[in-house]
Amino acid sequence: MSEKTQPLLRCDTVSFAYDKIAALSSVSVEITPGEIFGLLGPNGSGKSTLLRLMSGVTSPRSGQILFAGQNLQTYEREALARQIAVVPQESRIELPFSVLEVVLMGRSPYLKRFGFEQARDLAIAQHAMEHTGVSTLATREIHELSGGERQRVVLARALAQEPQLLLLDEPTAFLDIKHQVEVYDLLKRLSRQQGLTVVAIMHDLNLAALYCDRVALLKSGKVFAQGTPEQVLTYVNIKAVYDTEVYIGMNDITGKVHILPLDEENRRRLQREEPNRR
Amino acid sequence: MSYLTKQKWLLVNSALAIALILSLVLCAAIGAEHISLAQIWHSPSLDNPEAVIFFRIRLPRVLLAVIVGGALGVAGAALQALLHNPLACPHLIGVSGGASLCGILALVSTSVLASHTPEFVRLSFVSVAAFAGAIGTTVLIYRLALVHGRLQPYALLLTGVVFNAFCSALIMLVNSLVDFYQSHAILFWLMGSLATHDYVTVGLTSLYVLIGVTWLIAQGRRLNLLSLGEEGALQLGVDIETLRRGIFLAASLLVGAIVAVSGMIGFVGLIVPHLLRLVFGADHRLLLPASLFGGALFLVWADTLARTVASPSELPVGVVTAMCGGPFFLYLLRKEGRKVFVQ
Repeated sequence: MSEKTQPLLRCDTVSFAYDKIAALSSVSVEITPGEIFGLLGPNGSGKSTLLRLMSGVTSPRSGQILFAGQNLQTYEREALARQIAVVPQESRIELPFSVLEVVLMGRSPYLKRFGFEQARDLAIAQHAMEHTGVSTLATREIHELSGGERQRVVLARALAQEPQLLLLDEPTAFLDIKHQVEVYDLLKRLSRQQGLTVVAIMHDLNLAALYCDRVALLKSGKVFAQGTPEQVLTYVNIKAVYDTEVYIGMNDITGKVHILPLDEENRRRLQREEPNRR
Repeated sequence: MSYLTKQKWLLVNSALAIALILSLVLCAAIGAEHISLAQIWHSPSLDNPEAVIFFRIRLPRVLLAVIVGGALGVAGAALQALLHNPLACPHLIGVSGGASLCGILALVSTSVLASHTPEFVRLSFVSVAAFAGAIGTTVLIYRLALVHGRLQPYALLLTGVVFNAFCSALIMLVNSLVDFYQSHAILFWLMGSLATHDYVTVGLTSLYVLIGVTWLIAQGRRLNLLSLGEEGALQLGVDIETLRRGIFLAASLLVGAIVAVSGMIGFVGLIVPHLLRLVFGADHRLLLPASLFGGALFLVWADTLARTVASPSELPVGVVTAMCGGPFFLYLLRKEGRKVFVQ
């Protein structure tokens, strides 16, 4: 029982600064195994910095990050790459690798120094490509793909790492609505069926409400609110963090909250008619 | 096959190795003086004048071409990965500029101070000076390319290009101050040559080259991950800082050792990896050893051409590699350039 409640990743009063500009101050977040956790907040609120710290590529100025109960900085790099995979916002791959080669790079942390991918590695890569719908692109060169296709290849590479924790920085920013929901559907399936833990930066609050088990709303490097989407995505919180008025309703089909932006005329009218609206 | 298998690796490398061994014997048999391989096979002793030509004159030169060409190929492939630039070449990191400058200064000063010293002493002094220049430049460039204690590819690229231009200017300065004969020697050095070397030089050079090449080839898998960018490589378990330093130092060692014995032979490190990447794919586990064999093959044949095309006189091998490589590279650029520049 105690093992089940132990967080997979725990950020404990974490602070970080670029040169002297504070990016995060005293952020505490706990990620439970198997959940989908959304990092929300306006541009420059520290979401990407927090995600970079969680991936272990940089260490916090103060506070600590524990992965499976052990300080992230004490892990060996390749061992960490077998546990945590990252999908960046945009991937540039400079040399003419094929799609399959890029996905197989995800197996790199499992290979010996002079090793080649074995049949098992190939099977895992192919399975990952099927998951993200890029199997038919396997022999194509990565340069030839569209931004959306490339993003799904990179997601397949991350899955080929067979991580416990998947970190995504706005994974669907360049995807159309069909591929957006397909990616999140896949993440949800993986988290429910295989216990994959997902932390994703999301700009689309409606997708966050639809797919996340819990979210954290960041403002100026601090956690403004965290909890279930229903608890966090309230009119008051959104107004405080994003500094704009929105319409919040309930989606009849999903039973989740949905958030719609309002134009200037309606924002003015609301302020006039209902200044204390909650 | 859209990924690298062990079978493909073995097949490509053994095919290239066999081609290289055949070329080695064949090219040592070709030359201004006609010699017969069958004759040498029957009496390989040094009483046989044909065997003397084969073993004493041509074989060391062909072997040097193998070492220099192979090292340039591997260094080129590794630097293209390090600098995130498919158009990078070994002479771009500034080390060859520093090595050439020191080599040329040694060339000029030895001929001024002791014009009666034996040829081989002068040559080895020039080589030692060039190698010392390469090491000095390596340290200097490395210090200059560190930004906040980290080796930055773009800083390295810019530092190398500027330092090379600076060295070229100094070489021109030296060239304008010396007499006609020295100027001619400088020109010959700048164009690159594999002539007049003994087995000792070949052995010493191959020792340095072996260390650098072996280390670089062992990094193949990590070099692949470098193409994902700094954070991408880190997140897949690569200690990127150590890797960058290692590549730079190994490539510098190679370039230094090569320039010291053969001067500036251009285009091998540029076009060989580029061409092989088009044929065999971008995986560095194959690209690096293939560039070793490919670079060696290219230079062995280029040097044979240099020796024979205007026989009995001889062309500088750097001219031949440039004349083959230049137009071919422009062709590649037209054909493949869009892939390289538009991203």
